[in-house]
Amino acid sequence: MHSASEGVDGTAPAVGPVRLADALGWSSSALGAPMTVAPRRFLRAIGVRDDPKAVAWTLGVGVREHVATLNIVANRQRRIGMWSRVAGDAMDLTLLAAAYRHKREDEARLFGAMGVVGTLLAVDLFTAVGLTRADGAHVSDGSGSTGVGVEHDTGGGHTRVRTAVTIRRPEAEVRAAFRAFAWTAFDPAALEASGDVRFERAPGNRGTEVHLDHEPVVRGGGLGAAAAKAVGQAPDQKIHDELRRFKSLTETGVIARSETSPEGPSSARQILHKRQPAQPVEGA
Amino acid sequence: MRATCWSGRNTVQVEEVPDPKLLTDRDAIVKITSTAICGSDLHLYDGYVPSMTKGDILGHEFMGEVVEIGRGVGNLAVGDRVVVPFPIACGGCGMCAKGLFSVCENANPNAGMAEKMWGHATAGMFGYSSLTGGYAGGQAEYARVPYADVGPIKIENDDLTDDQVLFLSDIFPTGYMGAELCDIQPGDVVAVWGAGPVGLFAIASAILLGAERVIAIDRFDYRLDKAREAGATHVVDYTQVDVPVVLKELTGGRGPDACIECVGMEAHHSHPIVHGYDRVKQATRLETERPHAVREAILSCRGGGTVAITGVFGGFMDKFPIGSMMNRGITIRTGQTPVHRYMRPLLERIEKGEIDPSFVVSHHLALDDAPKGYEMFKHKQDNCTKVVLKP
Ligand SMILES: NC(=O)c1ccc[n+]([C@@H]2O[C@H](COP(=O)([O-])OP(=O)(O)OC[C@H]3O[C@@H](n4cnc5c(N)ncnc54)[C@H](O)[C@@H]3O)[C@@H](O)[C@H]2O)c1
Ligand SMILES: [Zn+2]
Ligand SMILES: [Zn+2]
Repeated sequence: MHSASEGVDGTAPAVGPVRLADALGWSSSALGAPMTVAPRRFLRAIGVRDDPKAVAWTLGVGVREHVATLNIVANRQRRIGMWSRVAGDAMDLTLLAAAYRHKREDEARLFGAMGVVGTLLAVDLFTAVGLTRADGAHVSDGSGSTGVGVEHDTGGGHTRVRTAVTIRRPEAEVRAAFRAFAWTAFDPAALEASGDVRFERAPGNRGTEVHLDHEPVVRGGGLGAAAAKAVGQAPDQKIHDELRRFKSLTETGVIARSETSPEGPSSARQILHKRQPAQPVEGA
Repeated sequence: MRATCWSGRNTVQVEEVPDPKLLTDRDAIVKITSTAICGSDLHLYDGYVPSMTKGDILGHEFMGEVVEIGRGVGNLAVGDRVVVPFPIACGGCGMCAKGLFSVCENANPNAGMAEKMWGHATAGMFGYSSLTGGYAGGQAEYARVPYADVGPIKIENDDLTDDQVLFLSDIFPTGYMGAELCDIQPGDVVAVWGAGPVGLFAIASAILLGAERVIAIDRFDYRLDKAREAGATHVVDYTQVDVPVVLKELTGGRGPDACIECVGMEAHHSHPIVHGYDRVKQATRLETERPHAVREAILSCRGGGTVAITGVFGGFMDKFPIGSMMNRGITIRTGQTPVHRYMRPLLERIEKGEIDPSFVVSHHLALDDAPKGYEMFKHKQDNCTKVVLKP
């Protein structure tokens, strides 16, 4: 996946949201520290009664904040980390609302705390959306670059698949094989006609590069696309699976079959790989 | 057939599973006569390699007799005695053409999974998780060998025992590769971390390739004794001394010309705090490795020297001494071993009597005793260096 921080982008560098995410990531621990070190004092500071249950919740939230820092800053899981923060903020607002009803000690302070969390929620949401947008942004060519292997969402559910594979065979042979292969992901003739597929000589006598730049039709709208992706049937997954099989068949005459992927490269299998151990299959 | 199956962290079971069948024209079925447990299997056993599934058949170091072949396998016949390399490679892609069989572009049907983690995928491997293809392994009575016309090497000399040729499947080429990557010059001093089977072959190979001194580092005396047997001129118990300091001393202050790391992701550190730091980070998956030996090798190596990493790593490490490496021009070379390209030349060395790989074997067990073998090898019980299972 293309991460926002790489900023290969050209169109919408994601430096802003990334910096913000890191700052917010650090702030998590700054906030978490008093919660884990002095939960009672913390509760009093926000105007909530420090009974054992409230203390336990505070400790829990404090730990969550430290985990958020680790996730966002240390593990660079910024997008996921930021969405978790959004969920966390919502949870905190709910907790504060509950505290307002049952454990209120100082109304002004509690309102203050709600104000702070509300603001954080807005900032977190802004950052999370920014990161998500940047992740899905179109990665532009760059002059002369072929964008090999880059694949991305252009937003709005459509998937433009841009990928390339090198086949260790001369161009004429690769073209013929391309027409003969049993593609299900697209119609090879239509692709050639539209220029969505290009064949180029690979440098250094390494055969032929097949470049694909294609926007497959997505059926069933956004939900359908998500469902297809979850089971390895999305158009881009199919294209990648079939390109691998095509390469293997053209170069070696067979498709690599393992005990867990008996039909060869298959995104569906890879998603469901836990179901089938690497053992010979009965009657295969 | 009977097969050794992974059944969760720290457990393997020998179970009855279906017999393998040919899945493509280029497959062969091998009836296994000898199969070994590798340090790499311990990483699976200990649960540090992702994408394992309960029931996965383990084992990637095996040999036996061809009992069935696909139509496309022209160079083997039923009855041939073969050793099978652990990487599964197609022989037809650009990487195979360059002899880089362990990064074959076709043989790993789950390449898509591996790309997410590593950028690009490896070849297939027997019995080594879904990331490397999800192939059934060879600690079993039979195994299906894909691309059987590319990988297996025929052993025509019946005077050679299984123990003498079995390790052509992995650890002999791996240790040899470690030494070869160091580009050893006459007079060189080479330090080897880990005196397990891989380290022992790295030591022996460094001597074969002309190293003047080889320093072996481990904490088990019986393994250090083996290291001497393999040709080490010095041995160091890392729990008793500060390794970089001792290496400086042993090399007149220069540091070894080359360092070979044969420990991998579960290295042990004699300092409880340092060990604890990485142990906790590994257990909580904040880093996937315990890389003490790698760090030490880089810090110990002389300026401009080479560090060859043969130990297996999975993901991400912490506190990588890039400053030492960059400023002093250390070269790091590594890889899953492209075993195919070493099998023939190393078989010749065995036939010429330059080395007898059977010296690493400490135990022969029945296949059904595989669980015991894993425990012994993991906990270094009964002076265990290498377990060979007999189906
Ligand atoms: N690159 C490849 O293709 C390839 C092939 C085979 C094995 N391997 C890897 O090589 C490594 C070694 O395999 P093995 O079969 O010899 O395993 P092993 O577990 O028997 O040997 C490892 C040795 O390292 C020692 N050790 C632990 N911490 C140490 C430290 N800090 N300093 C020095 N020594 C230390 C242990 O005491 C042990 O003797 C494993 O990681 C294995 O996965 C890689
Ligand atoms: Zn091995
Ligand atoms: Zn290949």
